Amino acid sequence: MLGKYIIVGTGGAVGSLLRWGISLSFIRLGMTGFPFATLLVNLLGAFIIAFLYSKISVKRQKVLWFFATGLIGSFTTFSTFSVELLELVTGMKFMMAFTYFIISLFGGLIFIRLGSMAGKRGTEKC
Amino acid sequence: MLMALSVALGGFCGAVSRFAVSGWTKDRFSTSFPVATFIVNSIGSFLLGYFVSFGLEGNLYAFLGIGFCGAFTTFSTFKWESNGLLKNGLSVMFYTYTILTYTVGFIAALLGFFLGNS
Repeated sequence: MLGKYIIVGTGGAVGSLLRWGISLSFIRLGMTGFPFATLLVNLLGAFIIAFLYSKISVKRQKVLWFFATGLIGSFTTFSTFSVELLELVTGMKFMMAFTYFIISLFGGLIFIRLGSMAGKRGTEKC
Repeated sequence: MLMALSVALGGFCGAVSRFAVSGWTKDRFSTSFPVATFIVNSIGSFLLGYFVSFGLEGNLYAFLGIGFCGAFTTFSTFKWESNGLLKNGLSVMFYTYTILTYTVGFIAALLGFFLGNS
């Protein structure tokens, strides 16, 4: 029964590395004022998780544990979002904080819908 | 290289802990409210606020902050579940879940910030 934890954990390690890599790329590009990196991973992750849950049968539990719960679950993050929002507010960047919040709030739902639509297109669940 | 290993190891532990919380709540709460995700996102926001407040950096931050807190909390599952509530006609629960997650996450990060600064 320990196996499922290893599957989820390994997915989590990969997802975290990818998130870190994207965040480093944005820092290198000098895009540091607005939390673009977190926004990108969270919206992209919302799309992918909805795609996976719509495309892959619940019977293939291990595949979903690795890719959905582990990898995408860890690729996206809520703690970083909360702390970045807090930093924008304490830094008096209210307009940026508001924009960040609104895009996450609605964008997240929109990307879930888009991912579901993409996952349901064409062939049956695999 | 060591930093990447710290992120990966933290991510491993964070994801496993989130999965464990999810299993733990399933045995205890029989509600369609996504209790597990709400718990991990609130606790994780508190912890990250705490770690950031006293300027934790280097490999320890990579492990605890980027890896553990990053992977313990999740945005994708949060949005997937909230959309599911809406789809199933549980709109009151959808609003409650959404408002609670954002508000408690923000306040938890703030509390962590204060605790680390005091």
